[in-house]
Amino acid sequence: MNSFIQRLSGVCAHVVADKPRLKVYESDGLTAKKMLPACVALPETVAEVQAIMTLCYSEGVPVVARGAGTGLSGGAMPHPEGVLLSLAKFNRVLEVDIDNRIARVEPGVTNLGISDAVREFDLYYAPDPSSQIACTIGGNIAENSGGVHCLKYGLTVNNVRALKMISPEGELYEVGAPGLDSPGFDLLALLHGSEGMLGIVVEVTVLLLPKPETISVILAGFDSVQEAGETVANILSEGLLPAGLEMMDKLAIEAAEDFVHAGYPRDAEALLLCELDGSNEDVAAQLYRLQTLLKDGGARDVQVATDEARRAVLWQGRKAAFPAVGRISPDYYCMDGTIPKRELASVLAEITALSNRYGLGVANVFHAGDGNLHPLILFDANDPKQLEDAEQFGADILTLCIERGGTITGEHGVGIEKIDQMCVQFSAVELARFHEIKACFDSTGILNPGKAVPTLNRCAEFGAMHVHRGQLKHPELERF
Amino acid sequence: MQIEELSETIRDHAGQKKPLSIVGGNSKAFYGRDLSELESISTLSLDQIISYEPSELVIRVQAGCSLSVINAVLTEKNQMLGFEPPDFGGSTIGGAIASGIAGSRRPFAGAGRDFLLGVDLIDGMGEVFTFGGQVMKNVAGYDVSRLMAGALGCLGLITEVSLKVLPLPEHELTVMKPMDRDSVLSEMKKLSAMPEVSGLSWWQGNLYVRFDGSENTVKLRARAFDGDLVPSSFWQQLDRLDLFAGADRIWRVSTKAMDRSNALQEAELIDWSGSQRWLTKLDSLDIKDKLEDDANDGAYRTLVKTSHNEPTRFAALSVPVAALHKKLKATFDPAGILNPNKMYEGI
Repeated sequence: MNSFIQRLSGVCAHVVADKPRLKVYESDGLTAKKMLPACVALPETVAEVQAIMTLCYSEGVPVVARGAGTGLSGGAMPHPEGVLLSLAKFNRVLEVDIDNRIARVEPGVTNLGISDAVREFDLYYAPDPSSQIACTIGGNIAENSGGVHCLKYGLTVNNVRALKMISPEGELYEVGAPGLDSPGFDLLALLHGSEGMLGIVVEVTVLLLPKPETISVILAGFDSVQEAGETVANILSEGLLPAGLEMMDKLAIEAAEDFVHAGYPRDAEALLLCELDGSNEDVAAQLYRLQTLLKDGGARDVQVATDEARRAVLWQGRKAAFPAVGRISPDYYCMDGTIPKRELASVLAEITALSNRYGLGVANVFHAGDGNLHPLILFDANDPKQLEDAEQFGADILTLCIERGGTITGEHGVGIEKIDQMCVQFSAVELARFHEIKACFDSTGILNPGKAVPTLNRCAEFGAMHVHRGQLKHPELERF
Repeated sequence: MQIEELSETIRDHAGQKKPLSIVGGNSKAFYGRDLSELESISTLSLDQIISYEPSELVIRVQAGCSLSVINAVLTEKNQMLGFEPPDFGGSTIGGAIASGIAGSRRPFAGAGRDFLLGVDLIDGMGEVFTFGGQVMKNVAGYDVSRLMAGALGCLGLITEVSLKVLPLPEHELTVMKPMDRDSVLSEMKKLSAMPEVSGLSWWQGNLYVRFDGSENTVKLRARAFDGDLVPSSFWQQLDRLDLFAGADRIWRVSTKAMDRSNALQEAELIDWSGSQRWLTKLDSLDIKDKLEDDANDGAYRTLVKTSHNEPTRFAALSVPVAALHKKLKATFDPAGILNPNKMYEGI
């Protein structure tokens, strides 16, 4: 390995190999999964990335790409015999094309950094994951990140026009186009959410949007989760398409209110936060319809904020929900299942039942508009039993999401965390096809090995084979 | 034929290496290489709406379902397909997704791929898959669903799709006024920044704008634009290429909206807020040169329709991207029997 690190240092000026500094990279946002990499490379140029990949490819050394390390599924957890490829030095905005409302940026630019760079032109980059001050656009592509505004503005995949990629062999190629379409298969979409398994992003062309003339944020409290859920359904079926539509349950409301004092109704069982944006006239018209729907749905404590400062306060409770929960529990485990919205009330009831069974509290925050649920399981990692129970509780929630027609991950990715649940969601032929797709891009499997897609053997060992619609998954494997 | 039979047919053909042409409404046969000589496999028997709940903003339909049926079902609940797929007459949703052809709302709302949440498909070995889902956010596994959008059936036969739908605008007005070619792009830039604009085209010296949103706002915008009212069916005619009826060849250039160098002077129709330009006057001698110019400046040319005995043509792929296409084709259709050469030779 030492001679490899010497060769690596020959092609990349910044290589870290001493243990104390490697510790910085031992995990991403999923801190329960730690591993020291053999070394870390921090290239500064595309040519350096190409040279690193060529070297690793020729020697069969695994490569794990990393942006800011804010991911929540262990996708950037290092490989013990591999290079951790940090794109942190790729942090420049290369070009802002105001005319075409696009920007070319390097992958290590933060999500918020893009909007900051174009603010003076009254433009912004729409997807806004909660970690946007720190997370990078390269990581957003790897995870196909969402945020609180994706109901109206879409995910990362809907807001990126083109990518420059480096293949495992070190070859540079481009997918997408600065215009709306590009020829051939939609490789641009395939690369989104591929969790660093298919290639290394070295340049991104993002779509920019004009800032809306008016934004209004409306907060409403409800006496039951059921009422709040039905109101969400009514808002959407009545033809409103809010920029954001968020829900929190009682424990999350209390934790957030105690933390940031946003004026949330502490006695409410559920809270909706709804953001409307557009022209002055249109927002006024939407707001009128929304208030009627809220009133009919049994909302109380309705607050409307139009000025920026007050809006920020209302959002702050929601955006600080995770750290707020962190104050009331030594540790929490954040889940990311997505369900059809009609299942909300009954899924939350089942989560409460699971919470009682495991004796672990749970606070729920929910991207209500698009059905993406983030239960935060409260536990104490110093108690090994609680850690184990929290993981099992989380796995049960994901299985529940699949049973109700949803998915195990809406926006955080599979990584290492949810890899076993992939066996529940997909059949053997589907998982095999994922492996074949990877092989099209990465024939020797050096990119992020062991993540995102489980081997069929792993699924057999996982054991929790779920009978889905009467069909046993992986019938080809022997069971004991 | 239902899914089991379709799968069996494909498996048999794969075994014998007998190619198949996938056909839905057969309304876009002009697009891509003519495969009418091949045996066809039809999706028309897959005509069910599997589920639709307006409050989920999701519809799940079988591939052979016609756009007209889907549009009627959605309209009844005041919703729509946001990418406005053109209906060339009996067009199916499977064809709309597989062709990747979107309508006038494309620059403002997105293409089919942007609304596609999940697909069921049969690959070239007859194997049946479900990718994606019926929820708006799903990052489990690679996004094979979107890979199928625009793949022209070269990677699989789509049997079912789940799509995000949008609310129908409360009100809509289309207006037009004369505009010279040199001013049109800057006017489009200004208008496209307005959230109420959902259609923006220039045709025969006139700028056409569609405003939608709440009734008062739309009326206000239309008044400020100060043009003549036009029936909203203008957009369907445009999307169906009716404006070019009788043309020998129809070329499409996809480029940056404000691109002043590509096909601006020759374009007869400037669509999609500037990013899609249509020409009919390029003669066949130009084809090779024009296709080889592609990608140098991020503009891509497609020969969309031709009345001559020549295949329609798609812009050339770079060498590494073409190699990825070949590998994906070999993965999904190792016998090379699904819509062979439809888009590119060998794919």
